[in-house]
Amino acid sequence: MEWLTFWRGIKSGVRNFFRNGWLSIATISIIVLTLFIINAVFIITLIAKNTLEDLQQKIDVNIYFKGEAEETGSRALTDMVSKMPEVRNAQYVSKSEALQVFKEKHSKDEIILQSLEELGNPLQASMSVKMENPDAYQGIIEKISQSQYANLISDVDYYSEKKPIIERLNNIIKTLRKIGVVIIAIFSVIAVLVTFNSIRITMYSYRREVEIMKLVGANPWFVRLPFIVEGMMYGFFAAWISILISYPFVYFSSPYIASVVQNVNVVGYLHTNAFSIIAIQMVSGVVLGAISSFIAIRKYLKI
Amino acid sequence: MINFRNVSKIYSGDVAALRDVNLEISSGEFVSIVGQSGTGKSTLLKLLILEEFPTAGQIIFQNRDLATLGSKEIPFHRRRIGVVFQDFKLLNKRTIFENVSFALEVAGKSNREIRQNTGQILEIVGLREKGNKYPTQISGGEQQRVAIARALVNHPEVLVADEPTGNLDMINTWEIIELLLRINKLGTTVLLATHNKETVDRINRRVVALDKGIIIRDQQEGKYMI
Repeated sequence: MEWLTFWRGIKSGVRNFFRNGWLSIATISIIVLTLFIINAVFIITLIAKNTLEDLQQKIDVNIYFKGEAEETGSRALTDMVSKMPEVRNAQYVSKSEALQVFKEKHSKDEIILQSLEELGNPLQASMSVKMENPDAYQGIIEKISQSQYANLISDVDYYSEKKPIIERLNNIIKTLRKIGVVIIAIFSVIAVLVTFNSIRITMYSYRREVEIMKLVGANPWFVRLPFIVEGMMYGFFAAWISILISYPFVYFSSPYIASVVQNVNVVGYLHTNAFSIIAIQMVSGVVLGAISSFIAIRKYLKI
Repeated sequence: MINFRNVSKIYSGDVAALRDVNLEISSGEFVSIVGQSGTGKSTLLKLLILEEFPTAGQIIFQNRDLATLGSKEIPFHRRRIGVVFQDFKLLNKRTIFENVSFALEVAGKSNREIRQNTGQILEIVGLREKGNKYPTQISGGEQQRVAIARALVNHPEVLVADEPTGNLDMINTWEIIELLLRINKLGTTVLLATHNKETVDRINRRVVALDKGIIIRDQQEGKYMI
């Protein structure tokens, strides 16, 4: 197709979009609503995932050292463990540090503080271990208990206390990921169908035009182009409007979310990924609009 | 110029719209195709513009068998034949000028050519001053003249009119027919499908009569007789 004809096709599409008035607005509104729902689902999944992963980060396993264990040995073990690639963090807490923490935690409790005065320091030194991979706790515990420092260890809070929690959490996160993907996939399909149908209805109103264009000897792409352009415009505007609606929603509900679920910064996530989020929505909207129009107008082209 | 050779068009269910039709039309002729509704007049015209394809037989247009045209060539073929319908088929959301210039846009003409040619053709049909109006703002007769203008603007070799006066009153009817006759005088071959007896008798040119898909009469200076 020559440039002049191409340009005329685009102008025609843009003109049709605006001349359609209410029909355009209705079509865009439907697409916006659907996109908005997808955004909401996406954000909720994001929050849930972040919350759980945040919890996952907080989990650790504590290894308690025997009272008579020498500090140098314990520190050496901690050092060795922290250098392992699969270990995110290994922290040594000496007996006195443990006492300090305990005192601060119970600073308002006179009875406990007084008992401490009489008992001295009943606490043990410990090493807290945080793994990169939540499935790896079993492995590291075994490694440590088979190491040369094994005799320094009195107790590990993994098997009795932490293991069930860790496993439950891991399962929840894995399930949530799967569900999240499925839900987003379902809503995406719904969005595609809704967009396609809305645009198809708009194209129906053009059936006479298409008939006349064919009659007068228009080449098929000359007929298609304005409608594809119009479809792209629907997708483009719908994507922008849905972003402009979703953002304030998220922005204003963010403090409420933060109070319920700590350490989840949805607004921050959006800011960091703003460019790709906008780009994805824009591209999907435009492509979806173009394809919908193309398919919808084929019915009337019948070529 | 146009040659229908043993053309039949049978729709599914054995409905035969045309049966073994043989018809030859020379360049510059004015031919009226008459018959009751449903006898195949419109089908004949649809076959010519390739909106339908014959079940049997050949249609030769300017020495080319239409069956040999590829799908890419069909739009070009259609630009060589101007068609006018009973219901005008105008774009109501565009002005008269735009309706006519549309046919030129489709042919990829430059803006300058479009302005010149559209103006000229509107002059010929007598609607130049109404270029900015919309189809809904002009009378039926005027709308049909716009349709004719659009059909002519690409200088087609043939003008086909399928019951062009069906929706018009007697005065408008005759104005349109006169316009068609004038156009024919300037050299364009005209095919007029109609069931209007008075019109045909008054024109007094070649008449081809169809009945149930078969040509029953073909007379020069014919009258409407079934």
